[in-house]
Amino acid sequence: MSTISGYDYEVPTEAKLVAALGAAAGSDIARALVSLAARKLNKGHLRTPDDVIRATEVLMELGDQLRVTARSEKIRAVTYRALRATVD
Amino acid sequence: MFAASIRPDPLATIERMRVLASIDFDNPVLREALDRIAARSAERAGLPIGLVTLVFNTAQMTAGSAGISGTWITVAEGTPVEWSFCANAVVTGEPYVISDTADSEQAGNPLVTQDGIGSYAGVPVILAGQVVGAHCVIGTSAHQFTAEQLDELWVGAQQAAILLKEFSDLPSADASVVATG
Repeated sequence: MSTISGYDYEVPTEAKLVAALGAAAGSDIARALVSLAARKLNKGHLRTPDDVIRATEVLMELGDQLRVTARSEKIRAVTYRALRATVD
Repeated sequence: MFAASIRPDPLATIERMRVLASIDFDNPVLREALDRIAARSAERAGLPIGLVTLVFNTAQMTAGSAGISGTWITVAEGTPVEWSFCANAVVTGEPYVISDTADSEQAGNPLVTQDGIGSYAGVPVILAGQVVGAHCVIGTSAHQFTAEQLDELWVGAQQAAILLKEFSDLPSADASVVATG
């Protein structure tokens, strides 16, 4: 698994996004929402950190507490991308 | 993965998430106003960095900031929650003060080992009875914080809470702000 040297920070994935959303909305709903976001991005699955970032932006549009968790996960995913750009 | 003392579960209570969801936290007018609070507190403390954070369930958002431009934290607009000093103030509802990070529970935090945080003082920001974030000042070396500096932080936290209230859709009866310094 890809991590950022010095930060021990793992790459954001679809599974981690589902897990974070699942804690707030339940795992079945979380899987459905992430699948919906992926389809809106014309993707079968979220395969890169950029895919995850774009999916969080789609999910934020759904509003309410989902917006908070999606924003939170966006910060985590952008953290990975920003650190990757800085450290490597 | 580093995690000093915070477990994420207390950050994900429904009541707290509802209050966070009520805030228009990406509104640029709100963000600029919080930037000014962060800058003023840093200046008054004589420290390089000031922040107003919203601590979500898995990350903290730097809703207002001063002194971090050009860093990855500015790009990300926050940090993962397991590295968040402010999360400690949120979970306990009390000020969190680290005079010397190298000799503290945060010594292994990447924000210390990689980004050079040397000292930290933060107080809770409370909206509608929920601790939604923190207002803090940060040094790049060890620093002994005074009672007056903490008092200044409480003032800034109260002002941040008033702003967050203005940019929330909470019913007015639920939108009381509290500072308990």
